Amino acid sequence: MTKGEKLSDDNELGEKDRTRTIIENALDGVIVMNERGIITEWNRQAESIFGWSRQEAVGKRMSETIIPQRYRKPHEEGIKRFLAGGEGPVLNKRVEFSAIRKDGSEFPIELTVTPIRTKSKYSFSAFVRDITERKRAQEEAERSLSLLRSTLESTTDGILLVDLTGKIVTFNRKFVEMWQIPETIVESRDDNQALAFVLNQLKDPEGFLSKVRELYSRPDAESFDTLEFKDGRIFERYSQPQRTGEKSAGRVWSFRDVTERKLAEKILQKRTGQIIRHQRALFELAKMDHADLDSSLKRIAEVDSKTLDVSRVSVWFYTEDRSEIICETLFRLSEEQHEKGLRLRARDYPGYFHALEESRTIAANDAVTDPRTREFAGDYLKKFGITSMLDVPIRRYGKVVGIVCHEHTDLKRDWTLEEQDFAASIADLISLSLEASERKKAEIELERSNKDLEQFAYVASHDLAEPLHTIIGFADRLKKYCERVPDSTAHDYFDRIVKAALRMQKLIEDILIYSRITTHAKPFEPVDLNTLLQELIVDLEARLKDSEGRIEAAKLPVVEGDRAQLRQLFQNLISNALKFRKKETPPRVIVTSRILDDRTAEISIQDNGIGFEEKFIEQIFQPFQRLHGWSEFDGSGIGLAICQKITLRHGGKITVKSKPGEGATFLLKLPVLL
Amino acid sequence: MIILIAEDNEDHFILTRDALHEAGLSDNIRWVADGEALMDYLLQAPAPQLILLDLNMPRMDGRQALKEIRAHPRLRQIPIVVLTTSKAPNDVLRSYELGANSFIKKPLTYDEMVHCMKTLKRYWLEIVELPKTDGF
Repeated sequence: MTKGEKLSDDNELGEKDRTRTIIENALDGVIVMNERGIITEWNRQAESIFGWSRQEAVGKRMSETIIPQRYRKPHEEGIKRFLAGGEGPVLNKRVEFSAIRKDGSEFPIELTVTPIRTKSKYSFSAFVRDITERKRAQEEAERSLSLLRSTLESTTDGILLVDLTGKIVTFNRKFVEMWQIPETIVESRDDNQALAFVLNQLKDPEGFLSKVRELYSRPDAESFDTLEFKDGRIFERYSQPQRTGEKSAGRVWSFRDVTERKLAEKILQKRTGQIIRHQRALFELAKMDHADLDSSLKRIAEVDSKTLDVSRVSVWFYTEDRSEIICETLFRLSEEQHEKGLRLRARDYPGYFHALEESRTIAANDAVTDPRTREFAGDYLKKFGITSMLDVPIRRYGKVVGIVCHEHTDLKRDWTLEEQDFAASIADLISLSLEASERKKAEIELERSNKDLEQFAYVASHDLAEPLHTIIGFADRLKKYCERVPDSTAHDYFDRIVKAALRMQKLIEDILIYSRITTHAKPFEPVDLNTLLQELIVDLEARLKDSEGRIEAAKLPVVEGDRAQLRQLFQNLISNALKFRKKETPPRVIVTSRILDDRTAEISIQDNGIGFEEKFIEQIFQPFQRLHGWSEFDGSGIGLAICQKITLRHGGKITVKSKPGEGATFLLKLPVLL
Repeated sequence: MIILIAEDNEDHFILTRDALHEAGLSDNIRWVADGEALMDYLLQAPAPQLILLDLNMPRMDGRQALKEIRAHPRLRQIPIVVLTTSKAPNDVLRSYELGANSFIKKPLTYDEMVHCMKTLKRYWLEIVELPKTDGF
């Protein structure tokens, strides 16, 4: 204090004290320095800022206390320069400096230095503020800003930040790149120009603009959208509010270029759709009836052409000697018409036919230059305007028997793998179709030859009957002559001839019946088996009487069938039952029936005869199968074959159960009429 | 008394003829081998007392001959017995429809044949009395 009083002896005491009080209590540190750089004033705040007490500071050189070493020289020179009449660049304004505390630590200060002229001398007063905290906050802010910036710049999205009024605050480089905004517009910072430039690129600028406007009216809304560009690019757009605390301060727009992703999605979608279409077409073709080759080929070519959208689809087959291929069908999509008959000689196109043998498919995107198909360039491709070809060999048992050709006209076309697969499936289908039609042909042929055979059997047996009749007649006649001669062996021989011929007659008759089952079939009608059986019993009366036999019949159903044939069936079965009787036991036949389901009855014909071994079951239904010699039991051996054929013709089934000595039970399954 | 046999098979004719002999009808048995010959005979010669007619013959078969005879005013009343090897159920019905008086399936053995001819003779030639024909 004493020093201070001494130094301010120029002033009146009252004034001095007042000033002192003000200085002492100022919020800033106040330091006064004389011309020589000696500190003359040092207030309380200065003490707290720098750590020097007033006592310590006053009288010391400024440059020795708070000015960092490196600034001391410039400081002293600055004072000299000012005193010499030059301007002081740091005077009368806020400047930031670095200062050191008493403990030697350096820190930032803000100060204003004001020169004060008293009499002939200058003094300098400085208001000092410790800005360490402010500086740190500032640096912090800058750091986080730069972090944000670098984050902004390192994303792959284009980002635009606008304020609540829509004015651009900031954006990243990616944004500029994505929207291809010229440097001039970027630099001009003209929002309207930028917006106009953006809108001009979009397919639907109006839609985008109205969405933007709507979003500005709802600052808190988030939104997502896809933007389509005139040039085909596709951006995804996200927009979300930028918040400071709870309040929206603006809006962040981010854009992502998804053109490639969308394109990939579209391709995938298209492929999936294509595969499904292919599957459907193949399914439709597969379930079709392939008995008629010509119509199936036509249908296949048509569906193929429409499914792959190929203007010409044709099916070709090799000729017998493989020297040529003949077009079986050619479908032209534009006219929806089929034609056929074109021929191509194999030796004129050796490369193509060689490739055909070697490949699964020949997919020639450019048919004119493709080495496999260019042989056709001159006369064929040009003539029909064909640009791309997809040909698939049709194989049967591994051998190429034909080709299915897809001929594309107009612009060249790249055949996809899916399309090639489809075409290969079509070739397989044609191969199956060939097989089906061949099988059908064979079936028809078999049926015809079966009919022929039956016809033959009928005619043959019919014509055999006549001469046999003559043989029997004359042999019998001769036998009569011989009766007049006693002990004649001739009589015995003629007797044998007659017997043999009679057996033959019976055989022929049965063959005739057997063949007639199909050749002389009658339409089905309801047949009451009860009356049918009664008629039979009447017919068999004489035989039953002779053998003391008995037929017992339960109630039988009405079935649908050929009456004469059903009668033949029961007659044969019951005759058999009576014929194969045990010598000492009177024959007994029991006929019963039971309903199996709505449509089938099982009729059982049981006898008490000699029966047979089970191993013969298969045999006995075959024609001409006999289990016994002629001398034991007569008969043609066709009786049960006739039974089986009649049963089959009626959609039924005949089986038998038997054991030697225990009789036999024939079981007939027949469709009933309700 | 004339019995006319229409039969294309000579063997069968002989057997039938022999059986007729054995049945006691030895005289006036005439033979024609087909339907046309039968019609020629009927239109030219005196009417027979009985015709034994086979169904299956060349040129004109028995069915056609039956039809023509029954349509002919002078010949319609001659008794006709169909004698055939045909066993089709259809043929029996058809023959009666066309105007056959009787249908006989040719018996296999000679004995049966003789028996058959005896019955025919008794019925058609001894019992039945035919009304007078219009033209005669």
